[in-house]
Amino acid sequence: MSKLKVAVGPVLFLWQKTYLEQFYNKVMLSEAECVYLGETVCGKRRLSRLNDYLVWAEKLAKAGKEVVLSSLTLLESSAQLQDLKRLSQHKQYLFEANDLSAVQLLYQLGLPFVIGPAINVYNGYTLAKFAKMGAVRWVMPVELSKDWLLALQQEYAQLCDLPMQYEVFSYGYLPLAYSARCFTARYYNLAKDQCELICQKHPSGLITQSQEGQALFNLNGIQTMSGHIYNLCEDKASLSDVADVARLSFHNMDELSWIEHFVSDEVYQRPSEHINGFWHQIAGIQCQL
Amino acid sequence: MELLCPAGNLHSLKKAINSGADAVYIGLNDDTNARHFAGLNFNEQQLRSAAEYCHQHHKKLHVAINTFAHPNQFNRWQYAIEQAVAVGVDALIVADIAALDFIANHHPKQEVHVSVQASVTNALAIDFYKQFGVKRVVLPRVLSIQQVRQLATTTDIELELFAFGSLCIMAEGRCYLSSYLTGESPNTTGACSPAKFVRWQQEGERMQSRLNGVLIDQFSEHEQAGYPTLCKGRFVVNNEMYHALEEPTSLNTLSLLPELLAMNIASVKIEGRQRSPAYVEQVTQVWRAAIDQAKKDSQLFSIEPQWQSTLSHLSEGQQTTLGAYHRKWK
Repeated sequence: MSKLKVAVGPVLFLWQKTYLEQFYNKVMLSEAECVYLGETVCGKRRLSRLNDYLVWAEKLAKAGKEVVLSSLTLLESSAQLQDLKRLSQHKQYLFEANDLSAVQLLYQLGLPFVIGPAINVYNGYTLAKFAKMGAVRWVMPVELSKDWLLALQQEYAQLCDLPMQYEVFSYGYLPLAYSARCFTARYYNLAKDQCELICQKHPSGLITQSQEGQALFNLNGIQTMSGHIYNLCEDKASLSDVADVARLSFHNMDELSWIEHFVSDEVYQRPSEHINGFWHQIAGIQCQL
Repeated sequence: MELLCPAGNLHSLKKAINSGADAVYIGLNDDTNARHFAGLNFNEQQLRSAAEYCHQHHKKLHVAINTFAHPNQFNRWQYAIEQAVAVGVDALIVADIAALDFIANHHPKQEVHVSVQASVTNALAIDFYKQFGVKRVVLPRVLSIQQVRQLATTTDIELELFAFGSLCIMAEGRCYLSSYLTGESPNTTGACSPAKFVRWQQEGERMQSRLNGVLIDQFSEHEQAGYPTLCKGRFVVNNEMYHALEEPTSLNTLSLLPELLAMNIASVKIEGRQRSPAYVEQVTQVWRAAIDQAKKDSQLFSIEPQWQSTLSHLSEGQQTTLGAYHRKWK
């Protein structure tokens, strides 16, 4: 594999528009080569609109970044499908499909796309099928390991000679589950329909612990995330061997220095509270030292 | 409207058929299905017996082959498919695109349903699966009844809904909480919160339930200690201890039956392949009676108290909910 590219994943939390704008201004100046933009978690979040994302996308593209527009993960209504269709009109950018509805739409439109991490690709057959429909890059489901990726690449190579880029979620709170229920609203005893976009009060999530004080999950609206930060900074060598792109997912803009740690040739030490289990085919919450 | 009931063994299957199920769904005894529990499910001989029993009674057999094939191991999923096709099952319930593609190419006449594990929640995603010639889609338990109605009016594919049983609150097939705590998930090994990681521990007056060492909940003497399904534990958020994700409760949509009939829902599914033959028998009897009454006159449909008490008694924590079908639940 060639040198590992660093991508800034879509922001998974609900941030104020001014904060998000500052974030992308900083990303513009960073060494990240690729930036994903768009609301992927909750269709009700509207602090930043598609037009805002498009303004930032244009700036980032002018600054030489590869821009990818990310689509919503859980689409439950025809209004959300209409939003998806609006998004897909901006063909100058690559798209990240986070649901099969997006795969279907982009295939119909003949546009290339990235397969996001919440789409179930577990084998080379499935990836080959998507490649024939227009997928050019695949972000592996977060629960899979380096060994799984290697085996899948071998299977893919036997089935399909279309080029494929491999991206691995490498830093940040792991997106683990999506629900009909908003867990942030539940914490406040609010019905989801009257949620008041309460998740904006928790721009890096709500940490949930066991009764023994062990951090387990991070609640982010309808999304349940890992309670610890996943961090493959010490696994850069194996990442570079099998992947093309490392996705970093940020929970505030002060974290952007991690881009440098992933870009540089030096190996940066993983903070002891960060986890890396999935990459090593053990429980995600655990660490391989 | 079809009443589709679960069976983890032949005994349960016969109870379901004898109690009025129109169809029964089962899995093979390996990790090709999402209820891969020890002592559960069907070997090749039992599968053949299951098909014979169903067909003798003019009922249908569905087989769930609904996990995702591991790289370089597709032959195991292929073998499961071939086994089921060979005994003449009426439908395969499938989530993996590799498996769907294989069936479409090699057994184009086999009826196929898209499993709930495929997480299909909208019309365009249904369109995606049409390329595999699927007849039906099983909807995840994340949609409200209004959203189901909207979908039912926009698609020509049959819809199957979960009607009763344990409630999965996440979009099925898109939940890695189990592998986060144990290394094994429904998608990779066919089980959520697998039993081999469960430990019960008496600590003073409290019974603790743990999953791979993580404390999921603890119960006082007068509380019923539930299985440590990780999304149903009591956790702490900002010093408040509560069921942060979901209470141990079961889905019960009996009151929605007239609406489901009006929407032309093809099948109502009872959850619980891991449950006892007695559970299967009692739930099937109640739902058979309810569907028959609703079909007779849906305007006059009313839930008999006895149905409700039977179902509550069989429910997790003896509580039931309409789940996501009811918007306020969200």
